[in-house]
Amino acid sequence: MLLTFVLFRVIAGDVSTAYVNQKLGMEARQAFYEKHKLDRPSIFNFHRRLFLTDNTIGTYTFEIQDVNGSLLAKALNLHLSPPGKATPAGKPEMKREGRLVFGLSASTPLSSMTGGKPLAAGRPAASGPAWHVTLSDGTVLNVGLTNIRTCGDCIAAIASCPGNSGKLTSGISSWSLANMFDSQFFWHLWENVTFQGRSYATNQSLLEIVGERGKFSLSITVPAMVLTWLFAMVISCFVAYYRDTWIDRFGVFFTVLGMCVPYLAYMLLGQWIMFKIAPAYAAGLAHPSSIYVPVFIAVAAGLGAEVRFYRTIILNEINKDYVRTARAKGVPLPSILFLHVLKNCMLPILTDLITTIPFLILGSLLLERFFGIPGLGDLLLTSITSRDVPIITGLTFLTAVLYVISLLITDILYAVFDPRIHLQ
Amino acid sequence: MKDDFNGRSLWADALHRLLRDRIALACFAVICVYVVIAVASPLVFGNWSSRHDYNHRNEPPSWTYPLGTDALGRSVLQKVFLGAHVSMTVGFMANVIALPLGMLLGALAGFFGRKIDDFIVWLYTTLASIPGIILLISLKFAFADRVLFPGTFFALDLSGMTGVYIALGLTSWIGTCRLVRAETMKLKELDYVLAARATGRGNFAIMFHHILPNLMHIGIINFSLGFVGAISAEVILSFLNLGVQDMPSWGKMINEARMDLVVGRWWELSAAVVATFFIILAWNIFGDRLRDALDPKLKNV
Repeated sequence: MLLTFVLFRVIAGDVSTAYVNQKLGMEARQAFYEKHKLDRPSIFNFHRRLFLTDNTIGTYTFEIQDVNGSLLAKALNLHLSPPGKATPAGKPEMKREGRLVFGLSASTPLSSMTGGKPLAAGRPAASGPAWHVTLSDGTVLNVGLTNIRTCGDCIAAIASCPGNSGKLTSGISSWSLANMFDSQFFWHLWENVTFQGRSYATNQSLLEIVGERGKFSLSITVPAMVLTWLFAMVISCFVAYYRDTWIDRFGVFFTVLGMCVPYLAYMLLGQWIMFKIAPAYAAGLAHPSSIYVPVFIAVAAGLGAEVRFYRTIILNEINKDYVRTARAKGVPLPSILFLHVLKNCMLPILTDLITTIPFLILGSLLLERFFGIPGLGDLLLTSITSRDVPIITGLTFLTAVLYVISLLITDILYAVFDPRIHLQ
Repeated sequence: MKDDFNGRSLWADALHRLLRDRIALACFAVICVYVVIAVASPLVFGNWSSRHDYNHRNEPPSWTYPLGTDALGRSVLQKVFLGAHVSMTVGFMANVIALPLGMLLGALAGFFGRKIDDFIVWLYTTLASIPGIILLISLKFAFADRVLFPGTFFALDLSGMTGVYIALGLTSWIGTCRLVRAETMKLKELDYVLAARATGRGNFAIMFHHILPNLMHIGIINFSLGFVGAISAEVILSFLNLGVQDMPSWGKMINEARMDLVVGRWWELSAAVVATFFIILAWNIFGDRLRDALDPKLKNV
């Protein structure tokens, strides 16, 4: 988890550039950060913020406006866009929270929160920078900000501003253990463990997306895996049965050749042949039967390596003593091969097979991209290019979890297939 | 057969076996040809970007253009040669990063055990649970527009080929690490390590002088395997437009020519595929033969 966090969130940099219209400016970007919890500190939240509470009850909005050249509300991030709206129930948002700052206290200079920039821009009016705070009951308070240097000064200025008799209070949020985990990392953890991550682009949750697109990926990879396995078993048994004859050499030669053709060549050739035979089936999923092409390509591309792997395992097994004993006792070779040897080969083959299962759900990235299949692999590629971080981390975490589960299943199956291994 | 019983070191023995193996020699020759092409092609066909010739677009193979021309009138033969440069560099550089990393981490994990072992095993199992190609693509994306140590002498622009090398290097050390770790755990229990310890050699001296040299054959075998992996991965990265930018590469050629086949222009695509095919074939077979020659356990099988 830490790894995916570092990889995708920290390295990805400023993701807002891809999702927020640059013309909308700083406020829109802040709102995006707020929504996706990107304004939080990265690992532990020891940060505090300045907050303003509106104690009046009314139907208007609670709004803070910088006036006379003040940039303070903006700098503190109290100035949200769109400005606080009255909720349908008629109760406006009662609290405005500033930006999270590490080690914020009453003596923190305000200029440190703006990165050293002056709090007032342009030429300040004679009355000095100020805030116009509109409270929910319609009162407008003028908070003078002249000679304000620290957060404490700011709180005092609000408390003592004319007309404010406890209507508007402000303070510094306290740090607590519960707040400590309100950080990007723990949100990331929570999002992934519960699979609640939402796409930046479409705002769909991960579970919805997997439900919607997973079936396309699985419809290609599952038949491909089963067929590859079947063919590979049959061919490798055949080749191992005729070992050291020309059939074996021929088979090995072809598997090596098959392994060396680049994957892309299979796809291009497959698509070209389909264009020649039946153009309508060559791309997309408009016809259910156009699934045959990608499946066939996946099988063709994967077969070489699998056959070689299985053949090595079977040959290792054939060279063992019990096979010699069985042959000496006159057991015919086919029954040795299929009754004794295959059973003993099951362990490595199962490991190989089961550990590939978790990756099936992602489908084949290239195949999906190439044939325009709207599966998860295609989505993952798009998300990586558009830096849709919750989707990337979510899908990666999903495969990782499935991988761990499948390793567990393999361990259990070991005990089933090999009586020498006992589950503790 | 008398000389087989003479004392010969592992390396001399392996060399002897390889020299008698015609197929291995042939593969080695193919690899050498590719290396020569890779080194020479940028020198011969430098200044690639200005080679457009709009009078000779999409020409089929002829005597002037032995492999035809592409959509911008560039010779496909030159593209294949320059692609060899890209592929071989990527294969080499990825290995240069991945092999020392894998061997060092594997040796550390196997030799020291406990916490270090736990951490390194955790690191590579976590990496292994993420599909390699996804890791690779996201690393490449993370590297975009990034410069390491900007302004210094060591400034590394990660957006170009350097990023590809590093991304490939960082994703392909796991296999080596696993093997080296297992072998180190075996070796450190042997008597000669005990003897070295008895003479008062420190942990690191034992690791670097007594254990790692005995694992060099794993490194060499993995070099050939890593080369194959890196070349295939580079083809895929370039196909997704994440690879080299201003040089032709085989993956880019396949990408550019993907619609050509339907129109009947087969030469660019097949040239790239055939070029990739032969180098992968050569490395695959050579790697196998190398393993047979270097792995003493397989000698009598």
